[in-house]
This record gives sequence, C-alpha cells and structure tokens, in this order.
Amino acid sequence: MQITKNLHDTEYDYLLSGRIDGPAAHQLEVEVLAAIRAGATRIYINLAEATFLCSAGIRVILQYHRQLKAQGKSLLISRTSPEIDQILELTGFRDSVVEKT
Amino acid sequence: MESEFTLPATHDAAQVVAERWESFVGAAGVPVKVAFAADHALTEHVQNLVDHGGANGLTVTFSSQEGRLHLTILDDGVPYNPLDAPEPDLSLPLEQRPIGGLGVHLMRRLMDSVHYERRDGKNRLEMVKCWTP
Repeated sequence: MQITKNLHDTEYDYLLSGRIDGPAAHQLEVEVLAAIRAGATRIYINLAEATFLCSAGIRVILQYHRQLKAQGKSLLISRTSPEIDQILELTGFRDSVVEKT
Repeated sequence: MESEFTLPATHDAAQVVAERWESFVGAAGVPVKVAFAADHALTEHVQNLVDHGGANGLTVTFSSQEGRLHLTILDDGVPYNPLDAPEPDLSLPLEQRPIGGLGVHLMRRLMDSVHYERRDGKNRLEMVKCWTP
C-alpha cells in the first residue's frame, strides 16, 4: 500500500493505493495517530485506488471515526472503488463512515 | 486445477498466501469477483491463525474446476473454530456495535460456504464459492 498525504491547515487527506492488509492497516493507524497528535480536526481517507481492504483496516477506520466524532471532529472515507464499497457494505458500516456527497 | 503448499505460521503468512493466490488465479482462470472474495476470506482466516491460533505451520490447498472453487486451510494450532464467533448485530447503532468479529463475518458473507472441522489434531477450514463458467 502507498499513502499520499495532503494537508490543508487541520484537514488531512490520505490517498491509499493498493492492498490494505494487516501491515498496511497498522501503517494507516500510525499515520492517523500522528495526525491526531498534530491537531487534525478533519481526516479524509480516499479509497478510490485501494484494491483490497481487510477487517484490520476497517477496524482502524471505525475506531478513529468514533474517537474523533466523540471529540466533535471527524474521520470519514471520502471515496471508494466499487470493490471496496462492496466490502464496506457487507460490514454494515458503509453508510456511517463514507462521506455523503 | 489444484495447488497445495505448506508454510510456517509467521507474521507474513497472510502475505505469502495472497501472493500464491494471485499466481493461482491467473493460471486457473478464476473470475475476478470470485478471486477478490476468496482473497479476502483467505487473508482474514490466515491472519486470525497467525494472531491467535498458536500454530506452527499451515497447509493451504486451492482447487478450481468447472465453476467451483474449493479452499482448504489446515493448521496445527490449538482447537479454533472461527465459526463459533457470534454474527455481529448490524442493526445496532454504530457507537454500540462491537468492532471485533468483522473478519469472520466477511468470510461468511463473501464465500458460499465455510465449514470447520477438528480432525487428527488439526484445524481444518474449508471454503467454497461457485460461479457459472
């Protein structure tokens, strides 16, 4: 997996490309934690170029989605590919964590 | 077409299985959607075994013929039936829903059948997915 970060003030945008497996989920968590420590108020995860998303990756997204929401901040999925959308739909979390356009 | 291999249950086992799966899919002509589903199911199970199963080694078999894919994963860890995990209650509000159990839930939903058996001191998980050739 490759992570590309774009930063505007306290808004963080992560583009994740490739395979989000166990090690990649850990890498994402490290990035998100660093963003939170740096004072991020909005974090967007773009999965349009992701080819695989395992449950460990979904857990990271859910955990920090909840944590930030409880603090009046946000972490949302900004875009998905059709394949990744299917995985999110099966977990039942899709409507909660994908940004509404 | 069939492929069987044995590997140690080390932290990179899921990655090794995924690479073997990618080669098999290309050679066996498994449809993209079936390959995608099976890739997830395999990764979830192997990662679970590595994280919790205490296994030393795994034996994985991929078999594909006439629109039927059959995956078998044998491990020598402690008895572990992933299907014992309760199905997550998807009707609960997000804040109340447990985050665990998602991997097994995905395995069940992505494959047509998932079957567990403890046999000869080993855990045996079999997963099947069919398509119209």
